[in-house]
Amino acid sequence: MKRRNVFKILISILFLILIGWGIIVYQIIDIKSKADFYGSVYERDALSFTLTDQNGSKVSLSDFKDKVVLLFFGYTHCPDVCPMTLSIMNNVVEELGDQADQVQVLFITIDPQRDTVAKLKSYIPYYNESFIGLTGTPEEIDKVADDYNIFYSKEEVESVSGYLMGHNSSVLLITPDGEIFLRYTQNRMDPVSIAGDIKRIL
Amino acid sequence: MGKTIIALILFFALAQFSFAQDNIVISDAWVREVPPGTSMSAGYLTIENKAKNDDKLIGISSDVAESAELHISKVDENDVATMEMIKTLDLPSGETIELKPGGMHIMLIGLKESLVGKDSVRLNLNFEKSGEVKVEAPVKSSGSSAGGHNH
Repeated sequence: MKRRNVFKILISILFLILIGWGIIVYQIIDIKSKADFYGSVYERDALSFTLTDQNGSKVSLSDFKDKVVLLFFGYTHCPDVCPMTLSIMNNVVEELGDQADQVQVLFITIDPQRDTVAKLKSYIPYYNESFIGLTGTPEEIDKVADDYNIFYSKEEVESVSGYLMGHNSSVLLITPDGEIFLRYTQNRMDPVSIAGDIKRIL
Repeated sequence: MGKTIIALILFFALAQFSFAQDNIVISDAWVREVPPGTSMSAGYLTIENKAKNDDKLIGISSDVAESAELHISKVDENDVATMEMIKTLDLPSGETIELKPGGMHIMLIGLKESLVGKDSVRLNLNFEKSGEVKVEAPVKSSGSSAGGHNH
């Protein structure tokens, strides 16, 4: 009789522990509830880099430790996809209102040959004064692009524009704790939804 | 008084006549405002071929650019964006073709002046059968038109 009671109590305790575990696991999943984000969950370490900004200053990813970073690789001779994406990033920042200062948009050129510091200076602030454009030596750019899985290549076309660049045009969202958490492909460029993701993370 | 009425009638008759002549109808034209000093921009518009015959877009030019070409942005499954030049664009009778951000666009190469503060840009489209069609394309800075329609 006593033994049976002890057994019952043990089963109850086990049951409670299981429920507890369930709740904890559920909460962990819920924090980064993947299905709920507009961007696709990427979850890779954001490797550090140091490049030169439009004012000629050295800028590192670690300079934005308290912020959500939106990182985009492009080039200023790009007539369609890059200006469109930068305008959308401006819309995202506007959408964030007073949380805008907790976000940093970084544009890294994949065409360092033409995109000099001076070129970025006349280009980037037009989209938003707070945006930072980054350039470097071809080797530096190569390394960052490789670290971030960004494919790019120079394309000689018949066009009189000289050459164009083919490039991965996703926007990467880096969390304040240094993870590339989300990725926005060109078919996921709704500014309100992107801002929604950022508000959840902040 | 009589003269005015006749003039008005004539005007509307002519206007109607000229509309009826429009085999190629261009609408929703705009050019993207880009930062000063930028050499490239893009123009977008919708072309409708209302003629009974097929036609072809064979050339584009603009006063503000050294040259203009038709290109298409393509984004592959890895989100790699590339552009391809389209030398001539077939316009079958009755067809409507839309040039829009992230897709087909008129690439304005070698901008001669800044587009910032400009109201509009003249685009000259040259068609094989219909000849030259001129369009005043408003300059717009908005980039959200593509993103906004995506969801």
